[in-house]
Amino acid sequence: MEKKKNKKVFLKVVIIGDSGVGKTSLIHRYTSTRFLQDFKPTIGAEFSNKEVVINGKTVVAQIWDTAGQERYQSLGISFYRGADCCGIVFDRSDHSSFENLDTWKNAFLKHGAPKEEGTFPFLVIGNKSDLDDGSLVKERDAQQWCADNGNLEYIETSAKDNTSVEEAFTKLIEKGMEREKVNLVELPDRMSQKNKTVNLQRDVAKDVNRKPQKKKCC
Amino acid sequence: MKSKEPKKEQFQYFKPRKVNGGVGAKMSQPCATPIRLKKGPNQLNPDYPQKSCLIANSYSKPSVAGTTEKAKKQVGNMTHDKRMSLLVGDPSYSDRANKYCNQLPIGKTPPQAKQPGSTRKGQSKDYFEQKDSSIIGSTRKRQLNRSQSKMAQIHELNPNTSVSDLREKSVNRRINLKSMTSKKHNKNDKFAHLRRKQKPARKNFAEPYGKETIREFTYGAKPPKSMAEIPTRCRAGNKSILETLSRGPRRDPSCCVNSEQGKQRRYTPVEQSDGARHDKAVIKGGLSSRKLHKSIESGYDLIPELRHSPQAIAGDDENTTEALTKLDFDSMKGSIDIRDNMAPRVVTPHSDSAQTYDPRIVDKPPCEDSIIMSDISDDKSESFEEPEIEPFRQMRREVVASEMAESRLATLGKGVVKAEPDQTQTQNSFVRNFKRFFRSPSYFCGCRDDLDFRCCERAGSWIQLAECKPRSQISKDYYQKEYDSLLHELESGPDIIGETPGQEGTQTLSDKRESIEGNKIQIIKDLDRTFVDSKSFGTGTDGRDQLMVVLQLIGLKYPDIGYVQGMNFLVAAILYHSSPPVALGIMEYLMDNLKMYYVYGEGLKGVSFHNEFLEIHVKKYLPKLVKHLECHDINLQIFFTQWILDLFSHIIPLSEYSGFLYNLMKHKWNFFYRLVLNLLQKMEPVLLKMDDCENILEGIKDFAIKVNWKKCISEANSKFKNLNE
Repeated sequence: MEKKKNKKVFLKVVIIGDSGVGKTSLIHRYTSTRFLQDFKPTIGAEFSNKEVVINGKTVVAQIWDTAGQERYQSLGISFYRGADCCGIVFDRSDHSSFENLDTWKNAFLKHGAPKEEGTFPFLVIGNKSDLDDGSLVKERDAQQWCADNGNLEYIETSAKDNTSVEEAFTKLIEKGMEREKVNLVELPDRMSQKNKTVNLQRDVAKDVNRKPQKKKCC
Repeated sequence: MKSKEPKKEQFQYFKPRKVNGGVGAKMSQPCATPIRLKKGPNQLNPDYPQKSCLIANSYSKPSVAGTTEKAKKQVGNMTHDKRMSLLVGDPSYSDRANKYCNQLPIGKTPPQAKQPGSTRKGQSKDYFEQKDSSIIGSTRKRQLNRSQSKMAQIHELNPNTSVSDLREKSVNRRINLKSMTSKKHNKNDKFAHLRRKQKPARKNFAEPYGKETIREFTYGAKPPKSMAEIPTRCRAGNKSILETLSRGPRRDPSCCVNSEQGKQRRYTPVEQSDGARHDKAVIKGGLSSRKLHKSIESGYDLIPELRHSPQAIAGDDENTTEALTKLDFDSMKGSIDIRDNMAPRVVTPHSDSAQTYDPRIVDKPPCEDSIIMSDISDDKSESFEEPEIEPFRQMRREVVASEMAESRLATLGKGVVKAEPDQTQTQNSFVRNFKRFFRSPSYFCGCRDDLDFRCCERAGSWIQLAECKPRSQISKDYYQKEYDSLLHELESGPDIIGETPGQEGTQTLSDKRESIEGNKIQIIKDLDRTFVDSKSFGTGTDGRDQLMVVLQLIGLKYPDIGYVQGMNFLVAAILYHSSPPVALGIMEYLMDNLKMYYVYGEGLKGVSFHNEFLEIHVKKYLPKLVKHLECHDINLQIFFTQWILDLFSHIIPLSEYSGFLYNLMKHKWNFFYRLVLNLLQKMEPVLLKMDDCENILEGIKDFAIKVNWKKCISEANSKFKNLNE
């Protein structure tokens, strides 16, 4: 049992949101601790891995960076499926990206089709909080939206200043891990798949047991 | 005193002189006289004193008979060693030669030498006798041949060195001299290696244009009748030069009458007066930019066209730009005749007859309009063709800025300038003419210009592929017209677009408005992240503006699709090699013929289709790699999707993209599949060694960027030929 505890846990983290809100730079900041000034728009999707130790467990987070343009949502089916948690990012200086949070959430639930629609772990991330010119999306409004949509958690970040980027991702991963635990209990399918080999061995053992029986018969 | 001259100098001038000495058939003729002293200026080094050019050439042309007293004296005054070394061109020779002829007196020719029978053959025969040769082989023969010629020289210089004296010292005769002498003339050619060295130098000289072109320029051979006859390599830059050659007698610009419309011009031919000079200049212009630089520095009268020939400029040399900035307009004025005669021909799109446009006569050259018109479409109203020059972009920017100011002044006073304008007017018009050639290029690659279309030569081949027509049948304005109409639609606003009345019409109008505005917002977002590092599409560049316009026009042309991320890279890569109208045309071709319509269309059906196809073939051709990636839960579809959506445009270097697009247009999607398979095949050994998921992902990304794309593209067509089956 101790060996099983030390095993790595794989988590699929998907980051969605409007284009240009800073998804790529957030992920880049978290995985490589750098801020990219000049980067290219994400086409299709990209993913990167990050190994973290949370609560004494080593977690390999596979972070999926998706394209923000609406047209690419149709690709989402292949990208969203099997996600353990989802971060919805909006640009605090761009109100339209905040308004689109609804559509993003619905699109994820539609294409990703997680089994627990109501309790799926989302994290709402308000990025670009360094651009403080008075017209940013207020925290109250964001919190209100989160409360209305199933008590989602909200965090404000800035990839440029590296403010609470790591916090946001650790929160996401923790949420994903919680869901994983629940799934392990609720979903015995995975276990059964793994036990197939064991079953075969048992069959062999049975065969071995049978042989002497046959002998006895003879 | 002369004997104290340094030896080195003598060898220096002597060696090349010998190169020009008679060889081959001439050598076979027996020398009438043993001594031949030739006087004349040293052609290779004219600065060298004439005295030192005295040469005793034993096997030069036999026509130079007799000797001058002066020459004899000079030779007599030299020490023996010096004479030997001078003749043979080898300082070490003197030591060897001393053995035989150091003590011999100088001044009289020996009686044996004067006899008609005493040929070189006989001398060498005597000479060989004294040589103690142990090995007789080809190398030995060569050595002996060499010494044979030396011997002849010795005999010529020291007439008293009788053959009999030498014969006395002979030891054994081991060589069949008959066989030796039969091959003598070929083998004796000890300067063959020098001549061989000369050839490549000439080849280099002719390299920019090719031999035939050079010959045409120099000797005024038959002019090319059509552009097809001109070799492709010299098409681009030397259009004007070739045209001047082809159009025959020169035209006098003073007879030019400019009508109000600025369309009709008349010319009367004028006799050539400075043909030789012109021809020289042409060749000089075709040489390297360094030489051009030198020629400018030395006050050489340059024809304006020469400065624009890409051969002279192609290297992006700082020298050239520096030299050009040094140009003095007063000195230019002296060569105004040449310039005017060499003025570029105006090729109006709808007329077959060529006209000569002279910027000196017309107050306002047509290009000014284009510069004033808009920043975006600089090539809108231009009717003439000329090579575009990449290296002068910096200079061009300054010029454009000053020209903008000038153009405002020019609008105040329009009119025809007199045939003989004032000095200031000449200067101004020349400045304008000068600037005209450095105006904004409509593309960035710096390749050679395509003469028919506003793009580089490679992009010209795209057009041919896209149109499936011979070049002559494609209208030069084909893309321009459509571009202009779309641009007009875009500029006039969305209100004009939905002309159909009724409820349906208004709905489409509002939809279109929204889509156009939505596209614009998205394009602006993405422009900040499209090749920002490159000089061509960075912030505040013309390229960025052009990209913006072309992307918007695509959205207008295909309202169902609009702007999709990935187009930005693709259009930028095409724009790098062509002007905006051509880029739009090529994008249309890709949309319609390559079915990019479905790739960018609703649901991205094309992407999933190509993805599936690729997956099947990758499994078929690279099963090991697929298994390895499956072990690490990596799906190649993520990469395929990116590659399909932007057609490798953000991975392949912009300079190499023309090759990719050419092949893609030629072989369609099959080429794309082959390229992907080829790329993965190259990656396979690297990826198989990697065990970490993250490393593999980064490995694929890095490899795709670092791989030699030129090689990869060229290889792709020859590999995976069974793909269709």
